[in-house]
Amino acid sequence: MTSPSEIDALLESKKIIVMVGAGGVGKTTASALLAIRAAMAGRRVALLSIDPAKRLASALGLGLGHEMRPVALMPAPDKSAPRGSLHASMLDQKAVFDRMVRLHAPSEKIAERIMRDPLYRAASTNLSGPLEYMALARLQELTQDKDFDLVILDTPPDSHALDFLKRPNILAGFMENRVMTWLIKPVLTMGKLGLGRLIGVGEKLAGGVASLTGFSALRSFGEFLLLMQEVIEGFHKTGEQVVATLQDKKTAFILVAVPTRAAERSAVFLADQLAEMDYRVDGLVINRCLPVASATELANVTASLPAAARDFVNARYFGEDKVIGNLIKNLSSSRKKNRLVVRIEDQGADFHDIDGLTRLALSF
Amino acid sequence: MSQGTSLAQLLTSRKLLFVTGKGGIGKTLVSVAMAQAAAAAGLRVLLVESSSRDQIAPLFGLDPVGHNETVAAPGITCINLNTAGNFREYITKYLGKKKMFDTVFSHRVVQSFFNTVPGLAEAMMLGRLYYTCDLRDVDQRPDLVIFDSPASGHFLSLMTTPDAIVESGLAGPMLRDTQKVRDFLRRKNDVGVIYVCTPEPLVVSEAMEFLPVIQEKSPAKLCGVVVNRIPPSLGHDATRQSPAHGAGESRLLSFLRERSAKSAAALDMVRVSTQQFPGIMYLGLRDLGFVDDPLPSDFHRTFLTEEALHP
Repeated sequence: MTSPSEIDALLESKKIIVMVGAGGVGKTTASALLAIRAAMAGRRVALLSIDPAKRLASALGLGLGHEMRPVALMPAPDKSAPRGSLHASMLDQKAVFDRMVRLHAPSEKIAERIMRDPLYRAASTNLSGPLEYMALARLQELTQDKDFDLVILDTPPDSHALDFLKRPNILAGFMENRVMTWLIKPVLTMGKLGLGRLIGVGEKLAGGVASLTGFSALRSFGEFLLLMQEVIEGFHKTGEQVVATLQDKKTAFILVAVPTRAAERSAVFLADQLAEMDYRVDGLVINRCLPVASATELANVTASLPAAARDFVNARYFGEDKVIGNLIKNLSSSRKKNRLVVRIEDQGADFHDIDGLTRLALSF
Repeated sequence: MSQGTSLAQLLTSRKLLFVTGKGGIGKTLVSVAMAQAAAAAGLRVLLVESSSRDQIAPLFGLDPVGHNETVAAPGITCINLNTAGNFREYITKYLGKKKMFDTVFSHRVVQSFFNTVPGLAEAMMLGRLYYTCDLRDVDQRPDLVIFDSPASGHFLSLMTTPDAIVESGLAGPMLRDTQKVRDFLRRKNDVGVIYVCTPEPLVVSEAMEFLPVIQEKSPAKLCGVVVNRIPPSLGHDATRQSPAHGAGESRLLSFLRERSAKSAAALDMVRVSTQQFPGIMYLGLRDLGFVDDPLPSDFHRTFLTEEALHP
């Protein structure tokens, strides 16, 4: 495991920390712990959370609304007062989307038309849609904010963590203005000519699509995209800026895992993908570990247990050991640099209050 | 099991089971063990997931299979569905327009276009499940499809898509087919949702808030609740607080004891909630401590052993 000073050195030197990991591994908790630790040590931290569990949200005072709100930090167990500050917010996807539209639309009038469009309303609230992109856009905003010198970003749950990081590139490939126009223009000019009269390539494609979705759906989608043209270009630019920010030396990615085989597989996969995309992984947080016990202590504890409980404790103890060993081995072989490894004891799902979080944050 | 439906009844009577729950709670293991149990009962099972990387295949010792139905064990095939594959199959197999797919829908721009239409990927996913369960040639059709589904929030988005599409102004074959998919999902005797949780008070109370939402908004309804990772009893000695409780006590022991107490409280909550959903399956599974992969072929025998939820 890493020494406390190395953890603090990382928290001290970075401007952005992105936490990645599979769903349900405790990314949000780990993000909060690092944020609290950095704030206690003197940094002005902004914590952006995507989907916090209710209890954690209330411990951090995260309400609805996406503005950064101050979190009341507690003194450390040794009574020393916090030296920095912590602000936190939950990502409000629609609010960021609306602001991006206002920012990039050529006029207020077009912005209003976009926001009234039913397709926009569906897209801006769809969970599996632009969430990742909006998180990145918000990150970009926060890094410009003079009130903060460290931004910690929690990433979306489940398998979406990777989309999240690829998204800027997807946008770059797809949202190209010309391609869009090429597909959409014929739809809008077709009018009542009917599908049989379509000739050009774009028209043939559009006609094919319309034969499946109906003409009017395609048409309203086309109109929507035309309306969005400049906004999409704006999104594209932000995407490129975000990629540059994320690849900067001052950005750290930290993998979060739990000691199970499934989490081990995802963590190794994520680490490979990140390396491929030129993002640097600087650390590993392993959540939900058994309290560290010596072999003697383990033997003493299990001796008093019935057979089923003994098997259970032994299976977990030795299983965790294997997984943690593999994780450290795999992640340190992919790059030479020394990496941070933090092991956090299993707290159950409901330990969250700011006092408990602070104690835990300062304990590793 | 003194009340409700048994797992065996569910496995033999349903065509499609969705398995969902909070992330990291054991959905995949539960899905795979259920597939093993169904296959052991002589059924042909298709085990489905939709993940950026295969979770199921490694449990059978396979390399990632992607969007290809692959035999994983006797009676069990598995697949990791992706949007592009679902889309291709909808047009070529279901609509029978192979030529149109080649000229129009295989085009990169058109594919990107469909990727951006909200809800389309979800509709294609549900459509693929419907097609597999109901429309395929009988000799190709599995007896049971188990879908190791996305976690709660995403699952809800998935299941509310058909309604959203039907109301969106879409027309043509896609509208017609989405209506059919929705009707299929509503068939309570064929389709059901199994919700997995763990015996922690917070997880259970979240589940109890989420389940009524499923019942209200999803066309497929709840047919079972699985409480996974019930810790084994610590026995008399360990449950008693030791006189040296405090400074000298093993952290490991106090951790185990605390977990047992929480689990008991959570199971009480589950028992109370049973009244809210009469007739569904309640299944408690024990915590194995650690599960290595690949799984043994009779993993379901050790795993799907009922812990007493109804004393």
